[in-house]
Amino acid sequence: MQSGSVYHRVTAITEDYLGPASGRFIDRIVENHLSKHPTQLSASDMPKLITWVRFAVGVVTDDPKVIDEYTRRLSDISTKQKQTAAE
Amino acid sequence: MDHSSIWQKGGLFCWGVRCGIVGSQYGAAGVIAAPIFAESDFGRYIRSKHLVGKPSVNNGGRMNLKYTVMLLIRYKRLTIAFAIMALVYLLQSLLATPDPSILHKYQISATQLHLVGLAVAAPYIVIWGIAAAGYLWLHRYAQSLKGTSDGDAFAVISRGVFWLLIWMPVASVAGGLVNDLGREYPHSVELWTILLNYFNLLLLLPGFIYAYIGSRRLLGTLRKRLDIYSLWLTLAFIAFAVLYTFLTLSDDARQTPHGDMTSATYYLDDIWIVLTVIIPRLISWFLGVQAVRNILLFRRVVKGNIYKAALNDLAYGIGGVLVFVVILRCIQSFAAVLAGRSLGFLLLLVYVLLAMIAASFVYVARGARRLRRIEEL
Repeated sequence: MQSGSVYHRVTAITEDYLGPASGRFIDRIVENHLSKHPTQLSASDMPKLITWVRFAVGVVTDDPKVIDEYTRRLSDISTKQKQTAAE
Repeated sequence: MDHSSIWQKGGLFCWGVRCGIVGSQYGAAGVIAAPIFAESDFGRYIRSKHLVGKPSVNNGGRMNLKYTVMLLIRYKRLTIAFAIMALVYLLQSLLATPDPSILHKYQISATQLHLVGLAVAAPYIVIWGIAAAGYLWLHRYAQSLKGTSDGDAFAVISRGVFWLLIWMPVASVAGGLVNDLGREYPHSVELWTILLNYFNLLLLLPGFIYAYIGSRRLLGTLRKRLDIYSLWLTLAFIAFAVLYTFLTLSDDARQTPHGDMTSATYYLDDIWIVLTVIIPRLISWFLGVQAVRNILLFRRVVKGNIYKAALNDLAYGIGGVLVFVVILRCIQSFAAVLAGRSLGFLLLLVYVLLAMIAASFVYVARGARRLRRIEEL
């Protein structure tokens, strides 16, 4: 799975939770905490990204189900990537 | 180690406990790990975002008050302008020459009348302050989104809300001035009344126009085909417009004072009342109502359940400001008729509407704060 597509998938999933703020949110986390350009986001960055997303989103919502669902969907991206690589 | 305060570390500990409770994969480990978080990358991240304190969606009131004061200091020109208008309004209440007919009618002294004026002015000033703070939160949020499509839309809406905000104190001060001038120079009452009506119209019109344009731009960010115009809303407004025009032209005091009143409402021929007052008013009110509909439609259609929850307060707040200003102007345009029936009821109604406008601005501030928090993460 190419980096650009990982970023786009992450942003598409994030849009279901943060709407118009999704792109800006992911860009900030990738640039500030993963120290790379957002389009360089790869499947190997997902665990760290998910950790930061969990902490950040936990500040703006009290609903643990939403946080769990969001992070689970993000972790599915790296799972699918591993499956694709194995095939 | 950051020696900023025990409070910060305590706040971080609480935040860690909260993560332990909320973050299901951490469970009890979160409680034990909390002090470690304080000095970890995550702890420094949280401190850098000024998120220490009561880490929840509804943050501590003290932090909001502190931030509101910071906003008032940062935007000192607006704060100073409001302070000056509040002072002028207070002085008008205290120093205005009492109308002898009112003193006689209510059997009170000039000092008592001034105290009543002060009691009337004080809540107005508090409401203006709340509204100014609410606007500044919205403005700050719009500024934080500069360069983005939804940011541009919120910036235009914020400009509209600004005009509605300044209308409140400016119209009150101008109204007081016109009353004083009318008493000092009775032959010029007609001129001042006409000018005041147009002044109010011109002050509010940009507010509704900007709010409408901003709301259209907001809908434009959704990239969806949406029904911009509601047939039912348009029909309902046409019915209201007909009724409003009928009531306005039925007002016996529209051209000359009637009964106990010392001034007429418009001092204009009916054709000029319709063309230059009623039609522009109705157009601006329709734009305002349409803006409310667009903003609530955006709230309904936009993706992102966390974003929507944060947007709720802002959308209802802006909607409330627009709707209650329209209702207030509507009531004020019939003030002469209503005052003749029951002055006390009219004053109560105006106060209730002003309080609702202030409450709407509180919602604007709450919503803007929550949305800004998302942009700070």
